[in-house]
Amino acid sequence: MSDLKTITETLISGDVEALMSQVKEALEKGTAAGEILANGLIAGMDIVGERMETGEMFIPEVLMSAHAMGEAVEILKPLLAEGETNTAGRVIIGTVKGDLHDIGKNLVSMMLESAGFEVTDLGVDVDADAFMKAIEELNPHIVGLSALLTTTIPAMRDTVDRIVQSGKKDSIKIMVGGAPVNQAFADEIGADAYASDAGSACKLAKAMLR
Amino acid sequence: MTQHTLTLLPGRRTATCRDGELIAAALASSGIFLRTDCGGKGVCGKCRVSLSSESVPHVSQAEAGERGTERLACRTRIHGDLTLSIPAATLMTATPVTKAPALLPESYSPDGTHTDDETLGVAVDLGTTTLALYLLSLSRNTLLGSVSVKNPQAIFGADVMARIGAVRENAEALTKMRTLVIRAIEWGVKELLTGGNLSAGRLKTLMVVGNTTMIHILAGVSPGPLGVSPYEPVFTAPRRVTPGADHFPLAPKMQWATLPLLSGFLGSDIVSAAVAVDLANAPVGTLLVDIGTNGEIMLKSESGILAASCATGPAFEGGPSPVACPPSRVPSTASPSTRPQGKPILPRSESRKPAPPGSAAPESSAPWLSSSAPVWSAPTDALIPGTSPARSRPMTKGPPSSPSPRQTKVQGFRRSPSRRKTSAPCNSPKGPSSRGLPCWSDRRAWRSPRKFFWQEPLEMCSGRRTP
Repeated sequence: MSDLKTITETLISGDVEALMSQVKEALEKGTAAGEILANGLIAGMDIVGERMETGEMFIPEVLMSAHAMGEAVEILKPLLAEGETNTAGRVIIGTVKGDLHDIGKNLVSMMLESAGFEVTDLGVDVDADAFMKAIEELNPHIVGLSALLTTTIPAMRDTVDRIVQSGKKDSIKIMVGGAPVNQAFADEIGADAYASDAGSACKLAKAMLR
Repeated sequence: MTQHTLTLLPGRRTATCRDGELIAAALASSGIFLRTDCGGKGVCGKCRVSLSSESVPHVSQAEAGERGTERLACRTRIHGDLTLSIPAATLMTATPVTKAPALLPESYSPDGTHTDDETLGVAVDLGTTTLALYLLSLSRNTLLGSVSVKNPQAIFGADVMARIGAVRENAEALTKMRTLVIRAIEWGVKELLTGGNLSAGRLKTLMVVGNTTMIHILAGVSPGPLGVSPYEPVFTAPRRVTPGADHFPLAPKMQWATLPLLSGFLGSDIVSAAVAVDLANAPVGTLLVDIGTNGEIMLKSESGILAASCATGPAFEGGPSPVACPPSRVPSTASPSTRPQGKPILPRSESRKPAPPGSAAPESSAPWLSSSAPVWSAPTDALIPGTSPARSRPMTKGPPSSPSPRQTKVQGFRRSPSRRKTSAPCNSPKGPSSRGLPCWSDRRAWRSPRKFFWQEPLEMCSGRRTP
């Protein structure tokens, strides 16, 4: 158990190399991969998310932790039993048309993956058509829209409108985020949720699918 | 559309406005500028006006913090005829600026004859937050005075993205913002003329530099395309701007011109700075940084000049921000500095000192001031003489959020080595150079052996052609 605590702490510190060796060591000692993932890594990312929300951790630190998390999960993946990974839900995420900013979106994507979501990242400058195509193909539970510019948030409205028009809205939760976005705007365009940072986005996503 | 009448006390000057218009916008359209230090967010409280008691029902609901008949002009909408008075402290005032060159470059010297019919030129640095205006004697080659004025477009938003967004949302905003800034320039020019007791009839040329968005708005061209990927400008070539007698009755015959733009977020302000410090002939490794609401950076490299832009946000200029960044305090009286001898301008007012370190938090309200803000790069040929603007394609597509800023080579200002001089001493010991800033009176910057397409507007200023 103390191994897992150490793993959690190392993950929060963002030290990739130390984390890798600790994860390997725990596996050698016979700790189940699922156990390491759930009680070591995911537990750590939960703390990272909380600290980001409270302003105790900043984006570069969160990125370091998320990167470490990704590396550690790569070791665990082959060892995890079917159904042990990506069970939380399917998510499609992208930066809306006209906008090329993606650090925030990537962070949310990594945090969601860490929390066990199956995330499909459509990248940047994604128009409503591309979102619709991905929705048809992947049948996601959540669609995440990101925009960083005052000038591109109208594209969020267009995308939400398209999803509503397609009749798929009933089975999909739409989350929006980005610097110029706020709760009032999210309500106005008919999005289901707004999150101000990656930590709360992750929490909200889990809450919405519960 | 319903029109209402605004009556200003005392004096009962009237202005018409449209239903639903903001008081600050309606006043600005009639040439009355209020302090909008916070960019019309209703935060700073500087734009407070006093309504007559019978006018109170004719405006939108009072917001939190508004008492009695006082209202914030940046938040209050007009829904009926209004009678109001504007406290002196609410009116925008000009501030002397100290960053002006004390002397013009010698290559622009007149023929040495000082005639009575002195011609005047105005140089304008049109910033997102602040306009700096310099009044120059073209025949005597001296700086007569300088003032800075807050950009009244701030009621449409504090940063360029907000202004672009305003135009994308409502095309009328373009005309409004254009009129606002022309009025502000006129107001500043009037202040300068009054300070020096000079006549507007002597005004000949007005040169404007600024970021691409500001120049688009001034030219009456929608900056809309700058707001979305690939963030390309509509034009980059220098332009002659016609403000129209309606907008600039002070000197309807004065010629307005702008310098070339490089790309969507590299404007003529950095171009003028590069020309002024002769970046093309500066040692390799010289970095030119223009810190404004939008930051621009040029690097002299072995293979030419590299340029990039970055979002710095309005915090450096005392702009609106959720962080503890106090709005700039401007002296309450207009005080254009006028030193006919070309001496350094009045010292900066104590109250305009920048906020102490630590008072600004790392993040600002500018929505694009984020760690993932884009880096725009310059078209490679914008600075190459003889190329048409049509060939200028800003290289904005590229790997998004690549770890290092995308850069594009910008051809330097070519000149023959034989003409180059080694460091010319700055002959203004109290000038900007003594504080480590570029030496403006360094004449090298202005000597150019070949004629480039951007020279003509510069020469218009001098009234004389360079050889």
